[in-house]
Amino acid sequence: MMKLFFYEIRKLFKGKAPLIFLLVILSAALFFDLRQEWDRYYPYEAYAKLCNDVLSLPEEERENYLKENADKYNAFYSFELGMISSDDEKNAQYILQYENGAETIYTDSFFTEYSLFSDTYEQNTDTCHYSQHISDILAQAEKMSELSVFGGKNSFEQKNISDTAAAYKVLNGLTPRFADTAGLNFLLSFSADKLLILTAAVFGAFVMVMDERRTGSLRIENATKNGRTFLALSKTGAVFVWCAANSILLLAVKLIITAARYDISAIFLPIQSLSGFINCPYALSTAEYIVIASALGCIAAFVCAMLFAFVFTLKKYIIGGAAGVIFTVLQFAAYERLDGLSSLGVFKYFNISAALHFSETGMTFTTVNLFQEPVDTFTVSVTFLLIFALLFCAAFVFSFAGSYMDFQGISLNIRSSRIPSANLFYREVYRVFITKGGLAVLILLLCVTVYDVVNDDVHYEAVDGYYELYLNDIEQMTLSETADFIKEEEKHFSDLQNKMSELNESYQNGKITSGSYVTAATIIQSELAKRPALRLLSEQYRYISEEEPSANFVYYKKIDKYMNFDNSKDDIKSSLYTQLALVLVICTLFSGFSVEERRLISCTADGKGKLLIIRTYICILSAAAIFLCTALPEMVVLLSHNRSSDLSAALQSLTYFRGLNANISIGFYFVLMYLLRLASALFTALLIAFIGITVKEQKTVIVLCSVIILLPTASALLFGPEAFPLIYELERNALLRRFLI
Amino acid sequence: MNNLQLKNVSKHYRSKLALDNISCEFSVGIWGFLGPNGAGKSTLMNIIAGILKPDGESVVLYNETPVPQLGRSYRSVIGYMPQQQNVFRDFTGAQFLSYMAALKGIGSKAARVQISELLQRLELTDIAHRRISGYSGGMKQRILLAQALLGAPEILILDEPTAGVDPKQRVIIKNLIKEISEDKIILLSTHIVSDIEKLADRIVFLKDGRIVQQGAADELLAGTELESLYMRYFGDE
Repeated sequence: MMKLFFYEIRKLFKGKAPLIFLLVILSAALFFDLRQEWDRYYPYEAYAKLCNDVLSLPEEERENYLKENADKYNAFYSFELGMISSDDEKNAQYILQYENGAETIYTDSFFTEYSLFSDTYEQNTDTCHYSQHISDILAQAEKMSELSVFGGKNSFEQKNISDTAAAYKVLNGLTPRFADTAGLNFLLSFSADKLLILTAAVFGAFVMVMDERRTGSLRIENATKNGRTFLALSKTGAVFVWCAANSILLLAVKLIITAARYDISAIFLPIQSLSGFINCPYALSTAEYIVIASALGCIAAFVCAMLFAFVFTLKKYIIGGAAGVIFTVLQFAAYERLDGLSSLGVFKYFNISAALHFSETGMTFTTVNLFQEPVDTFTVSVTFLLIFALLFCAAFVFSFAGSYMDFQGISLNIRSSRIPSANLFYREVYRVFITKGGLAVLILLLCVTVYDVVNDDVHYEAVDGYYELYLNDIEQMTLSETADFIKEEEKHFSDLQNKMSELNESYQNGKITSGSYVTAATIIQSELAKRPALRLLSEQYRYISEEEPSANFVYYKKIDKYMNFDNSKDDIKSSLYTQLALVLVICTLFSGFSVEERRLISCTADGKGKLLIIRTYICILSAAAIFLCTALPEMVVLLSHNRSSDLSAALQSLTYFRGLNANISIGFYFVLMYLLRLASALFTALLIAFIGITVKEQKTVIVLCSVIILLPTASALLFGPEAFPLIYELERNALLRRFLI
Repeated sequence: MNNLQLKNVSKHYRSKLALDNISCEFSVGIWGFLGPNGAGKSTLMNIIAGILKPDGESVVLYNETPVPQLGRSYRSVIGYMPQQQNVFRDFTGAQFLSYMAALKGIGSKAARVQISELLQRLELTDIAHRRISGYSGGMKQRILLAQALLGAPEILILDEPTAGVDPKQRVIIKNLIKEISEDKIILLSTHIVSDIEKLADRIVFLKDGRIVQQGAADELLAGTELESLYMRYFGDE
C-alpha cells in the first residue's frame, strides 16, 4: 500500500504536465503577488520609518505624538483645501503654524501625512489598550445579557452573548504589541491564492483519474490485485500531498515576495497586533494564524479535489463535472452573498469558501444559529471540511473500486472536415497561436492590460486640481491676456495675504475670539489654497515669454503618468507582461519539438532555410502583436485623457524638458517612446528566438529566458533601481530622455 | 535513372563507431535492411535522409552529385518515415499532413489532392480530423507513412513502417509500397523478416556498422528462407 502511495506521488510530481502546471501556478502566484499594490495613500517606506521612529518612545508618549500629528495634519489638509474646520483654540494654533510654513515629515502632502498618522495612531491605540478593549467587550456582554430585549436565558441571543463573552474572556492577559505590521496585513489580505489552490487541486484529481482513464492506463491498473480499493486510497493520499505541496508553494511565494517588500519581523507577535485584527478571538501568534489559514485552505482544496476525483470516475463525468462546478460556485456565492445572521446564515460558513477565507472570517468572533444554538463559524467551517472530506473520499474510493471506467472520448465536432491549407506561414501561425495556445496568451495579455489601464488612477494633489482650473480659465486667452490674468490673481492673493496677517495680529493681540479667527482664516485660506497653482502658472508664463516661445501651458499630471515620471512603476509592470508573453509565444515557435519532429522537419525541402525565414517573420509579427496588446489600450486612454492641444504642444512645455534644443511635440515624444518600446519588444523576441534555435529543449529555453530576461525586470519591479540599475533605467525610458536632453 | 551512392561512409558517436566505411550504390527498387539492434541501420537511414552528418571522408552522391551541394533540391526528393511515433500530437491528422506538405513546398491545391488521396489509400479519412494524440499505434504509423509519401519523393526511407499495424493494414501498406516502387529508391528497415522477404528486391545485412552481405533477394533466398539466413549472420548476437 505504501509503495503504491509513493508511486502515485511520483506520477504527480515527476510527470511533465504536473511539473509544467506547478511552474504555471508559481508564475501565476508571482504575477498576482507582484501585481498587488500597497493599498494605502502613503508609501510603505513612510509607514516603516514612522513605526521605527515611534517604537522607541514610551507607550503614552507615542500615543500622544501620533494623535497630535494626526490632528495637526488633518487641520493642515483642511486649510489647504479651504475647508472650514472646528473653531477651537488648537485649530487657531495650527492655522498660525500653517501660515508660518508647515512641512510634512514622512510624505509629500498633508493628506497622506494625515492618513499615515491617523492609521498608525489607530493601530497603536488598539494594541496599547487591548486589555481595556477586552474588558469593554465583557462589560458590554454583561450589560446586554441583563436586557430583556435579548430574550430568556435559553434563547439563542442570550447564549450567543455568553458564548461571545467566553470567547474573549480567555484573551485576558494577551499582550499585542505595536510594530510595523503592514507586511503581515499584506500577507493575509490576498485572495487570488484561493483560486490558484482550487485550480491546482482539480488539476491533481484530473491527472490522477481522468488522464489515466483517458490514456487507458487505468484499465491496466484496475486489472491488478491492488488496482482497485488500495489504488483508490493511494490516489487519495497522493492528491492530499499534491494539495499540501501546492499550499506550501503558494505560501512560500507569498512569504518571499512579502519579505522582499516589507518588514515581517513581527510575525511572532499575537495576531491582535495587526491592524483590523483587534477582535480576533484566537490566542495565536500571526505565524500560527497564517499556518492555520493555509492548512484550512489546503483541506478545502483537498475536499474540492476529491469531489472532482469522484466525478471523474462517473460514466457521465461531463454532467458530473458541470454539477461539481455549480456546487463549488454556489458555495462561493453563499459565502459572498448570504447574511451570517439570517436563517440561512449557517450556509455562509458551511462551505469551502469560508474555510478558504479563514484569514477574513477569523478577524472577529461570529456565530451562526444552528437549531437555536450558537455555533462559532470556525467550528462550522471545520465540521464542513471534515464531513465533506470523508464523504467525497468515500464516494471516490467506492466508485473507483466498483466501476468500469472505459473511456468514451467525447469531443465537440466543430472542426472543419476540409483539408487545411498547405501554406507554411499559415500552418506555423496556426501551430503557435491555435494549437500551442499563443492566441490565449495574447487575449489574456490584452485583458490584463485593459484591466490595468482602466483601473489605473492618477493621484491628484490639490495644486494639480487648481492648476487644471487655471488652464481652463486661460484656454482662450492670448499670452498678454494670460499675463494680465496672472497679475490680477497675484494681486488678489497679495490682498488676501495682507488680510490674513491682519487677522493673525488681531488674534494674537486678543482682539478677536478663536472662533471668529478660525472662521475668517478658513475662508481666506480656501482662496489662498490656489496660490501654489498660480505660482506654477506664473513660472510657466515666465518660461514661455522669456525663454521658449514655442512652449505652451499644458496639463502635466496625466502626461507625467504616461511618460513614467511618477513613481508607479506601471511601465516596468507592462514590460514584464510583454516579456512574459514574448517568452511564452516565441518559445513555442522555435523550440519544444521532439527529436523525431525535428528530424522530420529537417529532411523536408523547406525545413531549413525557408522555415527559419518564415518563423523569423512570425516572430517579428508576434512581437508587434504583443506590443500592440500592451500599448494600444494605453494609447487609447492617453489620447482620450489628454487634450489635443497638450499633445501638440512643444516638449519644452514640460518642466523636465526645458533644456531640450530640438523642436519636438509631446505627442511626437510619445510616438518615439512607443517606437522604442516596439524596438525593445522586437529585440527581446529575436533574443528568445536565438536562444530557442540554439538550445532547442523548451524547458531549458524557458529557464534561460527567465534568468536573462524576466528576472532582471521582475527584480527592477520588486526592488527598484537597487537590483538592476541599468534595467530599471531602460524600462523607465530614461534612455530616450537622456538621448534627447 | 535515379541513383544513390555511398562512398566510405563512416559515423562516430564520440568514440563509438556506428558506421564503418560503408560503400554501396542504391538504384530504383526496394532495398531491405536487416540487422540486430545497434547494427547501424537507423544511423545509415538518417545519413541518407540528410538528418545526420557523416564523418569527414564520407561521400553521399545522388545522381553523381554530392548531396551537400544539392541541398534543398535533394531534400525535395526525400520521403522519410521515422521509427518513433512521438510527432505533433496536438495536430489533427489532416493538419499534420498539411503542415508537412507546406514544409515540402507542395502547393496548396496539389497538397489537398494528395492528402485526400493518401488518407483514402491508407484508410485514414474517418480519423483525419482527430488529434494525433488520440490515435492508436497503427493509425500513427499510417499517418507517418502518408506524410513520407507526400510530394511523390524519389527516395523513400521507411523505418519500421509496419510495426504495430494490424494484418489488414499491413497488407494495404505493403501493396502500396510495392506499387510505388517502380520509379523510386525505397530503403526499408524492419525487424519483420517476412516483410523484407515479400517486398525487397535487394537485401542488405548490417552488423556492427558494416555491410556483411548484400545482394538480390532472389539470389540470396534461393533455396533458403530469410529467417535461416538471418540466423546464420546474427544467430550469435
